[in-house]
Amino acid sequence: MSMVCSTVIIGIGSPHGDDQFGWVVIDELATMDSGDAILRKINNPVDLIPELETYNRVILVDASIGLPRNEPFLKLMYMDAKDHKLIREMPGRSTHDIGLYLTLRMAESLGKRTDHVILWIGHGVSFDKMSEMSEATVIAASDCAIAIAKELCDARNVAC
Amino acid sequence: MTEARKITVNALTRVEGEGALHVRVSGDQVESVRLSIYEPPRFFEAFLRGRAIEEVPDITARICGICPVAYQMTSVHAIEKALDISISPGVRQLRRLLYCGEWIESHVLHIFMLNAPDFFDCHSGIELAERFPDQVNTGLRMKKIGNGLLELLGGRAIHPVNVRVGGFYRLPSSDELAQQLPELRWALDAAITSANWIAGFDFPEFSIDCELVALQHSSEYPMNEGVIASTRCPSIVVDDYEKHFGELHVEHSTALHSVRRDGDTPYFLGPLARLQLNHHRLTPLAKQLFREICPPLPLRNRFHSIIARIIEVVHALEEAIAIIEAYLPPSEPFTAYQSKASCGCAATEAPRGLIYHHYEIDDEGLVVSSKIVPPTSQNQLQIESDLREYLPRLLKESEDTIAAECEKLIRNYDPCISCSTHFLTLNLERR
Repeated sequence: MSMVCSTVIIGIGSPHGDDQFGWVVIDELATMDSGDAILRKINNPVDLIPELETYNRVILVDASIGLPRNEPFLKLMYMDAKDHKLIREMPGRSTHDIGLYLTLRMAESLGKRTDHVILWIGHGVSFDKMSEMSEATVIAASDCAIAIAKELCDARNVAC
Repeated sequence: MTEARKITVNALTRVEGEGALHVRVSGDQVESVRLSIYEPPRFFEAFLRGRAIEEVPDITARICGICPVAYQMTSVHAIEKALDISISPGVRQLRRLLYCGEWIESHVLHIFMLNAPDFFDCHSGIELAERFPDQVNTGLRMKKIGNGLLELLGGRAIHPVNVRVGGFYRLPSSDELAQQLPELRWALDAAITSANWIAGFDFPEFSIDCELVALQHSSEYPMNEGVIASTRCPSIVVDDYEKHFGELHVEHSTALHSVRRDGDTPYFLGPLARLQLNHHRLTPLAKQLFREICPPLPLRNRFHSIIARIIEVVHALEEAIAIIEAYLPPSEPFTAYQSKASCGCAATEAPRGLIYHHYEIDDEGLVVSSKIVPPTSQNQLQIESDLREYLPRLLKESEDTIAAECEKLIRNYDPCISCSTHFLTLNLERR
């Protein structure tokens, strides 16, 4: 599969409460100038594995419980040792027990690169079935989208 | 002297959703097996009340992130039945194509990520990926191809929005569909290769008789319509479903347990049942594969479900290719209709088994009541019954082993527990 010089932003989520964070960030980004970045929504993390070899930069947006209360969202570099530890220890739950960290580990087992993966993780509180996102998480999603768009804008002149 | 022991497994892993399993054992006798699951479709039945029928397909698609098409398809068919809406042959084919996409992506996920690890004592898909990277990579690529069909026909990859009562909002062009063909053809070859790999697995022996139930159609492998066929009882029309199949409230679960009304007996849905009752309707390559790798009928060993699943993947790919190759865009994307006070029901085949919907509509086109019976809650009593038969052979094993083996058995049913449960904890009480 040939790699293209581009960025994909993948929102991972479900319709349940704050788990919509990743999808809402993608919706917000769709209304902004996010350059040539491809926007995707998925509900099963394993669907991101085929994208790892397709794009030069892979930005994943997901929600997690257990982030520090004063951090509505975090940017984490998968290959950064300190961030990696945090990602590994995040209490992630996902469909079929295949969470984000396990998915990225599986990708590595399959020989896929992960050095270009950046995660934006939103602080989630309630994941009740079909519930609304909490007000704080809605605001966090909007702020997260602005932060991602700003980074994309700042990086636009950087050759990929 | 009674000694009670309790084993707790934090989660039934590699299934969709969560639940709890309670087992009570006295000596070498299994006294009770209770699978506790909690069932959001009941919430949706209330949620749909008073909503316009046009909203129903999009709402029901959100019941499940794994098989949204099944919920969506069953709801539109039921409403179309109520309103006497006939869809065009072209739209019907596109709906089958959409269902093919869901079968491919759902079955492939289950085969390569969830179920296959059990046959190699791998604790996760990661371990399987380390041992069989080529097969797992193949599975992921096939899943992406299924997702592609869902995205094209459903309008987006998650919770499709392009299906409407009477047809679709937008029809795909011939070119858009034709672009899928190279990958679908690759996937067909890959699925046949995968099937031969799977056929070589070491399958535990667990063959017990039960009633298999699936749709049956006079000219095609069942997806969207047919009569409800059984290995024990005469076929019935879908309109009579509620006369023959009922639901019991049980204390340990918020999910209703589906039973045969005449004897409160369980029944078994899903790929094994479909294949047993419909193998003669498979597409040519799938039929050839069935002859080559399928164990002799009757299909009773629950661990052979993975074989049925991969044969159905081959069928779905073959049918998808045939539909696209023959595609001529229908003249209209949907059939216009007028609402009226009425009732209608439908059953379709979700990847994990027959799903039934019933709607009562008022003369303003609002939902008065609905009934949604997902496959996992229909299989629930059969799963409990099978566990009761399966457990005695395990009772001398360690409690960790018992828990792990119960998980393996349950995974054969591909329970979509998020449609019906949250978190499985195993409590084993020995007396």
